[in-house]
Amino acid sequence: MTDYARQEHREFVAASRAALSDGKLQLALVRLTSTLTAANRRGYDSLPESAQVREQARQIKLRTLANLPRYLEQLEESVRSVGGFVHWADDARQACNIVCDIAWSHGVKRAVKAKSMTTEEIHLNAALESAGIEVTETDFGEFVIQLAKERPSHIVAPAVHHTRESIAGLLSNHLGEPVPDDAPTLAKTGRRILRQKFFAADMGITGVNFAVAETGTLVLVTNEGNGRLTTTWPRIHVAVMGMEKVIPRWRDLPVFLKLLARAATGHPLSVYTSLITGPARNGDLDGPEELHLVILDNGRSKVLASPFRESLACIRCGACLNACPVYRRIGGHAYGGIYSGPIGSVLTPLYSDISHNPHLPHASSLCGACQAACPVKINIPHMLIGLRELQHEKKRNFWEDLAYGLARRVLQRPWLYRLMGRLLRWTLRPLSRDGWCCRLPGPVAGWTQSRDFPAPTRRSFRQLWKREMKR
Amino acid sequence: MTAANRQNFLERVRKAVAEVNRPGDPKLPLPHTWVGRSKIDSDLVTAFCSALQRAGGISHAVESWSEVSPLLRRLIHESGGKNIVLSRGDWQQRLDLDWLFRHGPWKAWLTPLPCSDTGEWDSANDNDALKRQLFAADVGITGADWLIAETGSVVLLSRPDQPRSVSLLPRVHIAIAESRRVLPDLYDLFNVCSPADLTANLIIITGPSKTGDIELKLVTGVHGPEQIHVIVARETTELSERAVLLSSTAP
Ligand code: SF4
Repeated sequence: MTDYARQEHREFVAASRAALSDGKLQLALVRLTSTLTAANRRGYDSLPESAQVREQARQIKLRTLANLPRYLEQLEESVRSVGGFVHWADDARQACNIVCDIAWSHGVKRAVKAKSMTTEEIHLNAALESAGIEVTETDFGEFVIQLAKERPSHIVAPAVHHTRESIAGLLSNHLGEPVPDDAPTLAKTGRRILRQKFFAADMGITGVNFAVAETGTLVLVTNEGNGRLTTTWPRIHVAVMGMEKVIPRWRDLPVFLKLLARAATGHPLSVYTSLITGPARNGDLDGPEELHLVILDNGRSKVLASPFRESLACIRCGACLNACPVYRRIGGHAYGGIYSGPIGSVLTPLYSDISHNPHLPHASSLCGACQAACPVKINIPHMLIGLRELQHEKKRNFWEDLAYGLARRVLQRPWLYRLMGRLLRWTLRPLSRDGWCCRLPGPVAGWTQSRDFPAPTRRSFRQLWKREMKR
Repeated sequence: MTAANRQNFLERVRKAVAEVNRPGDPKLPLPHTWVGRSKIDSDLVTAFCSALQRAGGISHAVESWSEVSPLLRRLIHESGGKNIVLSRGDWQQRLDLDWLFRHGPWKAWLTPLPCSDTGEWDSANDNDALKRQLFAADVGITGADWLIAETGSVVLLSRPDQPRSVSLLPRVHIAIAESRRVLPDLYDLFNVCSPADLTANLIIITGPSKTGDIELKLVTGVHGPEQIHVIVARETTELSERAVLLSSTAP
């Protein structure tokens, strides 16, 4: 491990420990994830032929990825033909520069932002702020996070680790007046503060849930309506999308819309599904004068060229997080990246470098719950194993190699295998009592630290088999 | 951004794709299916109303257009709204809304239109004042381009006579439509509304604005309307007209 990776590993362990001993967070996580996991199942149940719909969505995504350049060019063409501008960004820095340039050249002072993982990924807020532009997160949870100067902890519920009291504290700090801590008042207060921001903003920044190549339509899904507000009155709309978000045709869209909300929250649709095709048209009273689409690579082409391509089919519903027994205990912050949970364990090392975050592919019991919950049936466990394999290739462990090398020799020779089995039984027998060994010595002591090891039987399977056959 | 940048970007993606793709991999998009289309046996209006209620909205199915006006009046009274904004549409021609504009403890106004011949806004029109007025509105009344029975959604296309703000900024949104606008399933929307029909913004609204960000308790009205009412007026000519609406080809 490099020093950097070792540091990351230490941080992961420390953050997990902290999360595990934080009673309030544990309670919130249990409530959130069990509610949403149940909702995910209900969502699929409420959809006729849900298995086929998921398969259809998966196939559309995989085929699109296999022909991505064509669809990206088509998307560009369509967006242009409805009056939008298209920009290509190789990495985070380029994407931030593009957005800052747009802001500068239009004299933008204030921007509002609707929740978007992609803009988190490129750290757009920091870039805009250092360019002297005020950015306000407008999703209620994200706004709370921004006030608290933290990172989101869940794709769907970014502020799940906050309580009513802590939210009230943050809001009254911001306003300089006390705010009562009941939920409706908190929401009203948020509405009041953010309405002023929407009114004053010159630029609205969003992500993109889906982009339709055929029509140049950008799809934006929110429950609060901040996505709509962000794209209604600010003069300029900037949408930042990962390049994998493109889908081919107008009529492919309902397949995904039918799945996204059901997988995320169990509802047939989210409250607001905005289909944005270009800037405001001639004679429109509201809507942005200009629309800019920034298409981002930032490591995605690397993933596209790897056996992990399937991970780019992710539609960011968050279902795998809620289903994951590890996420359910340690929450989103421990993952250290923008993307958390099982899919985060795949994406974070892939987007950066697999020698970073070496612990993430191991933060999984490989139980398969993530894949079962995923609307596009991404085989996350398989990819986690693949990542472990790559890690091993990159950095071989002498002791591990030695152990497996010996095991191979033993397994190749039946007589040696029998002998080793017998030896093992002999050594273990004196260590066990009442059918269990409770304490193993030396290097294998760790094994019995938190569980018992079953004592060996008196006779081996082979011996029993021989005896049975003789009878 | 330069053209070179675009070229590099696409070239990189092309290479990446070629690395994993096999010669026989499918090039064409998947054929469309209607897999998962809901089968609604009951009357579409009833199905729409119950889906809307499930989504947290309030539905009002009425037997004829004559019932709409009194109902609207009651809803406005109950909302306590003082500043009522309406977008335009043919639904208005079927209602007598004199009472709304003349009497009542409120101010009701129609969103303005651009000059009819050029489509441009005349320069006397003060966009900033208009924006302020729209932000101040507390009840917004619109028509509906379509309603979706599967999900209880209201679908609105942005147009000069149907700006986005009316269904977004006020606390209460009331949508009025006749029953032939009800489509059975989300798939049908993408069938009857073809790419050529698209305007800058198509919004599918399903219930009131809501958030679960405060201790996972559902609170409505955090950004958009906290209440959405949909009035569906049944029509006798319903069947024949809907047949026309749905006549586009199924896959
Ligand atoms: S991997 Fe699947 S379940 Fe997880 S967020 Fe992506 S689409 Fe949802």
